[in-house]
Amino acid sequence: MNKEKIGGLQLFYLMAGYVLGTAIILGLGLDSKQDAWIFITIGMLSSLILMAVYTQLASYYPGDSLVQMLPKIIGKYLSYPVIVLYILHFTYSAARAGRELGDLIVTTILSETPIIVVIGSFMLLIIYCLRGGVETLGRMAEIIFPVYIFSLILIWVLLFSVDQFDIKNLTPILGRGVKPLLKQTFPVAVNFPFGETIVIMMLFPFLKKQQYARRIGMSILLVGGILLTINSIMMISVLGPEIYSHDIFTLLSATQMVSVADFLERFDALVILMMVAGVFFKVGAFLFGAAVGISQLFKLKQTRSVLLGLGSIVPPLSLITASSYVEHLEFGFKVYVPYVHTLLQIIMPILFLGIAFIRKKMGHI
Amino acid sequence: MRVIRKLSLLVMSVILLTGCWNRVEINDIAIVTAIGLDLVKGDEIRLSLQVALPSKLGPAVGGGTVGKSTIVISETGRTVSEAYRNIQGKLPRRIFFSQSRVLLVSEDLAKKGVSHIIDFHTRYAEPRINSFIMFTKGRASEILKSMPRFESASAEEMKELAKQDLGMKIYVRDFLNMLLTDGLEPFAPQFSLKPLEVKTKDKSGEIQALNGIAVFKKDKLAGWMTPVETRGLLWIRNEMKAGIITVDVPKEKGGGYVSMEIVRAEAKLVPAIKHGNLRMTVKITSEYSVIENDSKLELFETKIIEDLQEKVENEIKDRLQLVVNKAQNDFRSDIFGFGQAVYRKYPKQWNTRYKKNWEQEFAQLDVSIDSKAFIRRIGLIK
Amino acid sequence: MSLFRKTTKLSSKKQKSQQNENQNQPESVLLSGRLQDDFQQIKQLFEAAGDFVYREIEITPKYPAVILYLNGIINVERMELHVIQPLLKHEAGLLPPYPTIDHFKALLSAARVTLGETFQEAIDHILSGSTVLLINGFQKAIFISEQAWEQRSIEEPASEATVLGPREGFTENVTTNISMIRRRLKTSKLKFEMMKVGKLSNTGVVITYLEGIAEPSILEEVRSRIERIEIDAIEDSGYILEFIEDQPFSVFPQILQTERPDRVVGNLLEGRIAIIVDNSPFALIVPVTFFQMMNSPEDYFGRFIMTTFIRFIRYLFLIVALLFPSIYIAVTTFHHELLPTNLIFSVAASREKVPFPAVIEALLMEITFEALREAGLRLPRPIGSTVSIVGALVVGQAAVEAGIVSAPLVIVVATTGIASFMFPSYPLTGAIRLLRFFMIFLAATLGFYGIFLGVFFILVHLVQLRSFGVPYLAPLAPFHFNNVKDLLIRVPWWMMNERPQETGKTNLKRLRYRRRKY
Repeated sequence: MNKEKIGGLQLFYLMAGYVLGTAIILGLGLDSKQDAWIFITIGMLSSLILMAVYTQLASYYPGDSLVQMLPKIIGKYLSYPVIVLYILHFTYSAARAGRELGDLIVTTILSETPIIVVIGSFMLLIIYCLRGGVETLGRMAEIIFPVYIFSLILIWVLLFSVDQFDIKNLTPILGRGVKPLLKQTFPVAVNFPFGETIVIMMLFPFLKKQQYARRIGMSILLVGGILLTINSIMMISVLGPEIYSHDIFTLLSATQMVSVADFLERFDALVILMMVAGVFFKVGAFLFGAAVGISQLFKLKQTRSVLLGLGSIVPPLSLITASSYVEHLEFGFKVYVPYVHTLLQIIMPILFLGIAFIRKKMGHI
Repeated sequence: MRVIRKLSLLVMSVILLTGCWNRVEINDIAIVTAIGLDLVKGDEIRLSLQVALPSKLGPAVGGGTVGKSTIVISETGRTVSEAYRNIQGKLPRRIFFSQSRVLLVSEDLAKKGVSHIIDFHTRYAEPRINSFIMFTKGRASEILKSMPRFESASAEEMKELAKQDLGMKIYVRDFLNMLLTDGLEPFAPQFSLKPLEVKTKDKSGEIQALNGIAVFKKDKLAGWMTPVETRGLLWIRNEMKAGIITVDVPKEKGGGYVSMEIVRAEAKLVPAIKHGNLRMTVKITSEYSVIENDSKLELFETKIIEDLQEKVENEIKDRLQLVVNKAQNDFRSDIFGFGQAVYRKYPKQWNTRYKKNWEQEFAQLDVSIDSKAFIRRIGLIK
Repeated sequence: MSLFRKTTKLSSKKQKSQQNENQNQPESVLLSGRLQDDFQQIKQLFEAAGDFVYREIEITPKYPAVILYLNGIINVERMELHVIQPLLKHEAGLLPPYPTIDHFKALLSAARVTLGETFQEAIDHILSGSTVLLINGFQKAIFISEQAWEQRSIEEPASEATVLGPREGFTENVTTNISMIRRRLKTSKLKFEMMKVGKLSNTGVVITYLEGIAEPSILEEVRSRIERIEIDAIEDSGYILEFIEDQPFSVFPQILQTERPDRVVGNLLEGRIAIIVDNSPFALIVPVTFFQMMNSPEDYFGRFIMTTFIRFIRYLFLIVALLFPSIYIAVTTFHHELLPTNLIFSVAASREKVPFPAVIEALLMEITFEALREAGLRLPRPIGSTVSIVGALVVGQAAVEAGIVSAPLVIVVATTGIASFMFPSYPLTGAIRLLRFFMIFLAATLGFYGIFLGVFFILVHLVQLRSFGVPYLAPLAPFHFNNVKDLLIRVPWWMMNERPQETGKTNLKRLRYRRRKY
């Protein structure tokens, strides 16, 4: 039914960029201070189990997206509200990523520009891209991701030149003991950004070689997680644990410290580029997931008009949900990620897998 | 679809055409090269900005009148940003902080506390977090007004001076880090004007100079350290990168001095808890190369070199002891990061026992200095 | 703006060949065999055509005949020698008493002699430079092909000059052009499919490909797209180009225009298809990718290490040509903090007296530069260089001194101008120049954020673009590792053992070994 396909490598690029997306700019595990990298590693490793759940579900219903398989798992009528919940989740998450981009741009480089213009123009780009379907998204990922990784590694290399770079900032490892760290880790570290890869279940049907789904899913988390871990180590080494936990845009402030030979400095633009690219992956994948979900739910032939609708909803949505950036972050990290994410990304998929497993045993597939 | 396409085109062009919210031409900004902060009338802040005059700075077009390349403009306010708004009222151009790399704070203000200054400087997007923070004994605005000798603006000279490895290089960000980190108190270089030439009749003028450091307790100035003491601090903070050490050769051996250049220096803070008592050992390892021999010593002999090494070790030990004593007794401020070292090695004990009253603990801390010196080279002649 | 255009779906619906649609002409009416009738009918058609020449001769009294041709496009001397002389002065007895048309044909000593039996054929032959011989009593006409017309000699291609490699370029004569290709590929696999396009012009269009290497589906697509062209006249291959392009509203050229036979051959070998149009020195090559446009034919003649280096420079300056003015605007009006202190002083100093905002200043300069370029092109060559010197040096210098524009901007615009001439493909240069203005607007609105958005927009557009079904950014997106060998780097020839994935699938292997065999 789907003529357009996405290659395995393209999916990997897209989703790895998606995992890094906003997380790399915002910094993860800020409260864990020097143990942030452990926080990320634990989050990544435990999310591998989640990915196993997602891919197992996908392998039970080959060729079906999450929206298509749900009626088969929990029945037609029960599935509707659940599907709507997922669509809302994807849409709202896209709006959140857009808001984060907008706030970075507005607080750092364009302080007098209305944030709606920043988010709106970005959304135009996303719609223009998604109109081309999954193929365009995949190819964009193919072009942007290498640039993205190159910029990231370039920044890391430059960070070594910073005088304040001190790997000792990572000590003492687990200074406050394991328990408080674990308490912070679950479920936040698993949910953001790793658990968000649930959107990959909307993309699996478009994959060219279905048999590699699990391998791709796992490598996305591993690569994304390892890069995030290295990044947090670099950030803490340069900024020190205290500033790391204080800063809102850690990568940006670390990059501002770079000064090679008094000439190679001010790489802020590179960070802005990375943010635009990262959010591009993130909003692109979320919005695509939502659009495909809606069109499959209502059995529409094309997703184009859905996209336009969603695209015009997202910018206002990203702004009205929080009046200030503080409120946005607070709601995100105190309510949305711990509770809603846990429900939609951990509890429900495991539940679905259980039901699907029983159904398979009973031969009702 | 066609309608939608046209609509989105329209939206885009509207965005494009009505835009330019942040657009400020480069000739409409007042480029701040240095920021100075003083305390006036007891509780008001006076913000002085050294602003570049581009027409005097660029390549001389049409004649090239040589005049002052910068002006200093100041205004008062209760907070830094208030003073900043007040200055803006006097300037025909928009104040632009991002090129400023120097933040000068006067003594009176530093004594009242600097955390709000640091906050403004790190929170507001324009000022760069890697500008140098320095303190002055006199008025900051006076130093801003000094004439540049080498660079186009005196702020550039300050920046270049701060970058040299002679003294401490403290960014605003470092200051903030020291402020936030437990078991580490902030310090920053002291900046002053010094005569160009010394002990001559010719008083040709003044030049900026780094002159010791300002020691803080929390965000308040606790006192000053002399350049010699500063070098001791550099040793302990493991930031000794270049320098000369001169040892006295005793009379019985012929007298005179031997000067050596530091090739490599490394310091390690080793805390140890023994029977519930905290001890701090500062381990210094350094390597030298002789650059001046003013004595009768034959340096081409192992024994004499060993002798010299011992002298160097003692010299360093004395210097460091002096600094440690001063910090412990006079300032009661842990600028060395001893507390941080303890935390890194004994996080549990630190959290439970030392963290709360580190100030007292630090003052009574048993510090021993373990110095090792190696003279690797003796230069080009025997 | 083309950015919102949807990809045209490929379809290979056959349409009626338009050649047969000429309704004004006596379509496939057979010749009557009565000389006077046939002759009068043709003569009527060419009534006011001043170049129409006829000559009535008598081969034998029984067989009067008429020779018809258009003056100026046939070689009259050869025609006299090989047609008129043999007919008039044939030795008696060569013709049997009741000769067939073949007997007459045998008399002629011309190389290409064919027969036809309709008016249409006769007229077509006259129009395309053949001599038509009508003989009384035969329902067939003899066509003698002795075309010759004034034509330009083979010259060095002006738009694609190289230091190394062959120096001949296509001319306006399709036969010459074909011969130039044939000389380079001496194989029967090389095919030239002839077609006629244009109701009035009847221009010859030749589809050239290598059988067994070219992708049959693409070939079929090319054929059907050309067949569907409906126009009165084709003056140049550029007409065809606009008709068959995938996305006519894109600024990016999706068909390569070249006047170099070696470039055509190189592309044929990679499985692509060339379209040669009569009266046009530019051959069209389909399908092409963006990266191909960035490659100069010289890349393949020089040594690969140097080529690779040059390609890096070229891509670097692609970015310069596209973004330098917009980055300058973004930095001087939005992100002053990104400039080093000393640089900001000198930029600020030079802008002190300039009355315009940086955007206006940049637009002014860019447009002036475009005007200079265009003027230099129009003027006769000796004056052209004077204009550019006067324009660039004198006006620029005066403008800076008068304080109307700032010196750094002149540097920016000049660098950009030079950079935009680095690309081997002239149409691509145009695309970059246009997009530069788009980027300047974005940079003036949203600074660096705008620049990044603009670049992303362009990338999305490029990624969606196709040339005859082949993704425009192949082999980068979709990625093919093997083809990257001829992308940014160029590996030596002996390592290029495969044809490009997109066009050479049918016959992928190019070399047997991926190494040198000695």
